Order: sequence, then C-alpha cells, then structure tokens
Amino acid sequence: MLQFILKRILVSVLLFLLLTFVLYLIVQFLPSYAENDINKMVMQNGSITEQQKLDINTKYNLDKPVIPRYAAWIGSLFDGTWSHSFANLNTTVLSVIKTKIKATLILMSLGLAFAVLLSIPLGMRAAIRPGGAADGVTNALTFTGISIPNFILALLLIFLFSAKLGILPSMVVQTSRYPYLAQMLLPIVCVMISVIGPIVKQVRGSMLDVMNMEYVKTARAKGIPENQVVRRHVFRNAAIPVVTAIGLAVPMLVGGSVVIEQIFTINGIGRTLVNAVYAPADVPLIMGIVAIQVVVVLVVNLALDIIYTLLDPRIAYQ
Amino acid sequence: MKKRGFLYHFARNPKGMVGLILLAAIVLAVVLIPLFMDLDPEKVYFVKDKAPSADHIMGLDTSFQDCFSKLVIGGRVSLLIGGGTSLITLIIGVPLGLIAGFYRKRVGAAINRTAEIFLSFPVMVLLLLMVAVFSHVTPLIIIVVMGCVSWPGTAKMLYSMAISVMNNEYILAVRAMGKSNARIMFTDVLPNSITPVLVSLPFRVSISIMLETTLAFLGLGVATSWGRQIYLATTMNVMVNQMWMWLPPTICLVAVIVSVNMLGEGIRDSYDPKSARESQK
Repeated sequence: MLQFILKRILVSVLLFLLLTFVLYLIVQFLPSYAENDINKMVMQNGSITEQQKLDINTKYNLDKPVIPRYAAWIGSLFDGTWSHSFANLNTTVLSVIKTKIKATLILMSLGLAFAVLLSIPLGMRAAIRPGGAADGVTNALTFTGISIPNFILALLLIFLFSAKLGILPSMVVQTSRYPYLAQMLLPIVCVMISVIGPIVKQVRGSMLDVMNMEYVKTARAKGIPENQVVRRHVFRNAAIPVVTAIGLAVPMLVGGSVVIEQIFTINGIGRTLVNAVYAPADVPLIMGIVAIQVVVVLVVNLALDIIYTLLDPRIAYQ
Repeated sequence: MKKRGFLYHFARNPKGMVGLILLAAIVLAVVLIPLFMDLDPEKVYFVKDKAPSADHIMGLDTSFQDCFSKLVIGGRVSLLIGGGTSLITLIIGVPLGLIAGFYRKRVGAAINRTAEIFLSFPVMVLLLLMVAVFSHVTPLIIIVVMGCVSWPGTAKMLYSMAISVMNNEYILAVRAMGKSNARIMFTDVLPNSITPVLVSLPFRVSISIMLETTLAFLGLGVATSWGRQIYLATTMNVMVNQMWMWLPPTICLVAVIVSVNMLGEGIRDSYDPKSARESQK
C-alpha cells in the first residue's frame, strides 16, 4: 500500500512539473509587462536607450532564457515568495494568493459538498422508483447541467432572487448588510447545480446496475429489510463509478468557479486570474494561481486512487 | 423481424426530430437573414432612445449598436465555432486515437498519457490563457485553439473502440492476407470504430458553443458573440430595465444548446434503440 502511494505521489510530482512547464511556455506569449513599460517610456521620452531596455527586462527577470527562468520560478515555490507580482514588484505572489484563496475554497468545497450530499439520496431514490418524483428531479438536474451554461444560470438566479424577489444579494462585497455566507449562497448554489448533473446521473445509473445483481436478490431473499439492502449491499458496490464522477467534476469546478467569481464579484483566485490575464499579463501571479489549480486536480486524482482501493480491495495496488 | 435502419428509428424519435427541426430553423435564420437585410453589428446609431422601435426591432445596446444585428451575426459566429471546433476535434482526435489503438505499446501509451494530462486540467483555464495571447480574436482563432484543447475526449473514445475492434478475428485474417498496417487501420479498423465518435458529435458541438460564449462573456472571446451580449446583464439596471439587450441572446443560446443536445440524444437512441429503451426503465 505504502509503495503504491509513494509511486503515485512521484507520478503526480512529475505531472506537476510537466503541466506547469507547458503552461509557463504558453504564458510567455501573453502581452508582457516589459513591452508595456518600454512603450510607455517611448511615449514619454520619444525614444529609449538600449540600456533602459535592458534594465526593464532585468526588472521583470526577462534577461535569461526561458528554461532557467522556469527553474527559478520552481525555486521560488520553496522560498515562501512564489516570486513577485509584476503589477507590484514589492508584493509576493504568495501573499496575494493567501488573501484570495479563502473565498474560492469556500465556494468550491461547499458547492461540491452540497452537490454530493444532495445527489446521493436523490440518485438512490430515483433508482429505487424509476419514473417517480426523484427521477424527475434527477433528469431535470442532468438536463440543466448539460444545457444551460453556468453564466446564464448565475444571471437567472440573480434575476430571480436579487432583482425580482430581493431576498439575496447579487454581489459579494465587504460593506454588504448581509452576512458573508448569505452573500455566498447564490454562488454556491450555482456551483452546485453546474456540477451535480453527472454525479446524480452516475448515482442513479450505478445503483440500477447493482440492484439487478444476483447477490442483491439473495440479500432480499434472506429477509433483510429493503432499506438495509440498499444501504449495505447496493450502495457500497455502486460507489466506485460515483467516486469517478466526483473526480471528473473537479476540473469543471475549477473552471466554473472562475466564471462564477467574476459574475458575483467574489474576491477569489479565479477572478484574480482573469484580471491578471488581461493585458499586460501578470505572469508570476498567473503561474501561482495556475499552479494551485494543477495541484488541486492532481491531489484529487491521487485521493481518488486511494479511495478506490479502500472501497474495493480487489483493485490491486499497481 | 426485419432489421430496421437508423433513419427509420430516427424519424420516429420525437426528441431527435424536435431538436433537428429547431436547430434547422435557427441555422436557416442566421444564414438567410443577413442575405436579405443590411446588418452591421458594429455600426453606432446616434439616437436618444435605446428601447425597441420600428427601426431597431430589438432595440440598441449600451454602446448604441443594433441588438438584432448582433443577435444574428453572433448566432452565425456561435454555430460556426461549434461546428468548426468539432471538425478540428475529429481531424486531430480520430487519427491519434486510431494510432494509439493500433500501436498500443509506446506510441499508444504516449498519446494516452498526453490525452490524460489534457483531460485532467480545467479546459476553461487553458482556453483563457491561450486566447488571451491574441490581441484581436477571430472565430478562426477560437476554433483552432478549442480544437487543440478538446481533442483528447475524441481520441480516447476512438482508442477504446479501436482496441475492441483489434481483438476481432477478421483483423487477424486481413493481417494474414498481407495488408499493410496503414490499410488495415483505415479500411478495417476505422469504419468499425468510428460510430460512437460520430454519434457523440452533437454533444461536442454544444460543449464548444458553451465554451465559446463563456469566453466571450469573460471578455476574452470574439467581440460579436451572444456571450458578449449576455454580459451586459451583469449591470443591475440593464438586467431589470433593459431586458431587450440580454434576453433574446440568452433564449437563443439556450435554444441552440437544447436543440443540439436533443438532436444528439435522438441520434444516440436511434443507433441503439434497444439500449435506449432499457436505460429508460
């Protein structure tokens, strides 16, 4: 077991390096701060000397080739700075991220948690009584998930609850008269609906598959009450594909929270990322945020692999 | 009993037919309307009242541009991008999936790993970074970038099909006949493994349209796009008092995605009517 986990961690670290390197290369093509500064100087003084150009490039660490720069960036992940933001060279990226990460974590974790907590009972009921009310809700949620982009969902929720009913705020701001969690309610519901479709569909589907198995009939024949059959015998065996569906929801969650933070003006890392991408690009800040997203996705995948082996001892530790 | 074909089942599938008719109507509208009307989404009109009128049946937006022109041209852009992206996904994903299924050892592993890396990272963030590289974004740029990002799904699907086809004995037979690898790949494996990819194509289209409008909504996509029009609703005043600016594109966008998805479900169910009936139980 330990060997299996160590091997998976090693693979994840390699993947992290590979992914961030590719992203680092892409980010180099974004409209840069150095160019912006050079243009500004030319505008002000009419011309620019070679020395000034060099100074600007040195200021933004652009005087070295890309591979040593990437290596330096990786190094900065370990010295507690995560490099310095281009927008303000005195602040470290880590300190910027520290102030923004909380809102994003609340949004993503509560959104996913609600989605899972809601889809398990809902999917189970839908599987037990096909065509019933729970089945209808399941279908509606799945349909919403694949048919309504989450920015439209967010706007419709704001239209209904903020503009028309006036019971929930449409923005997350510090000066609001609502408590923080009430402000976060609409965004969290939005995140939940945007990821719940595939999860609830998977719960229903794999429950149906398992329910027709012979050993479930045996359990019923033994006289075990139906709800215990469902809880003990069906659900545990139906859980693996559900765990996979939850894992697949995480990249969607990361991408979706970027959009939702933008709409509800939540001061999280997704919104910061979008702002950092607008020209000129704040490369160190972008890389810091993207690195976190890569880590989130990799850690979730790693955790899923471990959960699989716990759920089903037959899955070998390869 | 006579075995009935795909078209027989599709014509009797209400979901698929409704989706097809709705989508056809929208496609015809965005293709034909600009031929008969003079639509310029960039032209600025200097009038006082932005509300819908005889001159501007859907009113003007916050920058005094005609909403109807934007709706029609934006629809063209969305559908073009949806179709184009799926095409590029096929062009990249199908050969890679096929090669990975055929040369399973090194090449296959390399292609599969690459696909997995792409699949594990949020598509939205990747698109955000790649599209921001371009100062002037055209539909073609979006199509190419999105195609490059979303091929792994197609490749994996074809890969798993190709593997099961490769296990059939007729592949062994054509091998024994001395057919070359390339010919086996394209004349024997490809035709027998491409169906699921083609059947899932409508869903690819709807996902592409969703991503495109989301990018435009964030201000990083094409300027004339439904996503950009819907963005205006983020101002409370526009959302409540000037609904003509955002409601029509919202309805159209949802209508397009719903009709493409219904068409997709109809096609899927008609290809495999038996499993469709079972899944509804």
